[in-house]
Amino acid sequence: MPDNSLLPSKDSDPAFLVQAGYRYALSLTHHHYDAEDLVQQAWMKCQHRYGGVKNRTLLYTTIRHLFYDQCRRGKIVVFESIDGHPEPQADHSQHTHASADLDVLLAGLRTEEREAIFLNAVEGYTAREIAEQTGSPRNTILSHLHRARHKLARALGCEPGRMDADFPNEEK
Amino acid sequence: MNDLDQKIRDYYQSQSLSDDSVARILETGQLVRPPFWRQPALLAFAASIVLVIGISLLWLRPGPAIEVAVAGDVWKNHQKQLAPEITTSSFAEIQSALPRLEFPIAPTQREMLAGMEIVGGRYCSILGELAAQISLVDAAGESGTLYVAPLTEALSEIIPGVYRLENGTVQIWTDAHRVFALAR
Repeated sequence: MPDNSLLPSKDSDPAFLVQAGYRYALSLTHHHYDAEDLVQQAWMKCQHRYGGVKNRTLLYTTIRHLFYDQCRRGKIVVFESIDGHPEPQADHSQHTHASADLDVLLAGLRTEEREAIFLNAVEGYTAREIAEQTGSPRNTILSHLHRARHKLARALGCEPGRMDADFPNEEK
Repeated sequence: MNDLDQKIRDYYQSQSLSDDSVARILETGQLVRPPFWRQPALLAFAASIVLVIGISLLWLRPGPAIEVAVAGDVWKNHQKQLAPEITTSSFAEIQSALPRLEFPIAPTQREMLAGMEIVGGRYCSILGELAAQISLVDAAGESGTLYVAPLTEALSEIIPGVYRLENGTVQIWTDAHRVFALAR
């Protein structure tokens, strides 16, 4: 299970879980209202099926399933960036805040890349844990992380970070 | 921790739902009823309903038909071959010797007993009713037993006929408010 040592353990606080679920949904949709709808639907589904939201992992899994289910049914349209085309660029003349820059840059990432970088950088999941959570091979997750870091770092003009620093919990 | 990770973390930490939205989601969630198998009270209620229905079905299940019960009772008694209390070849003498019988024991249709002779008689009971047990024997020396009981309400729905049991038969008929059963 993920060692979310970087975050306080507040899974027993429903409001905290809702906010955490919203951020995870945002990493998938990169759209405020879609993310809000997703976390609400996931919360209700957990209540109905499990009698409550027991922990963050259950909520994230439910959100993820709902997201891909809705993508399949066309309720959420994912705009994929085309790899090989110009990578996301921060327009420093228009966006004075780093947050706004990052918002645009994250929007240019593929869904899988954005999800992986969120789970790794924000939640502290290792590549192996992300692989378990998403059901993808660990090497695929590493590729997503590598690509996402390089796209963002190049656009922001900062270092993408060393791999061993990227995965503090990963077995060496 | 590198600069990029910190920026990503700061970005997502700055994204949050309003307090109203969080409250609405939590309230909506509380309105959702979990499935009944996750509600102990409903589960117990459903189980008790099933139990009551099961017991009712068991209770209301029709028992064996009355004639089958009589034939079985008669055959069981016949198998015991109990000695008669009075040895005689006359219905009238058996009737006299068994004064507790408040009904005539002689059948009006004697053809049912054609070829058989009376050996004697004794008291017995059929499904709790006091009855006469009359021992018979045919020309070949084979024994038979005739049972006579009043046609009470409990026996009123009996269906006359010949019922085969194990190695013999029980013939049941009614005659003048009495039930006759001949086992042989």
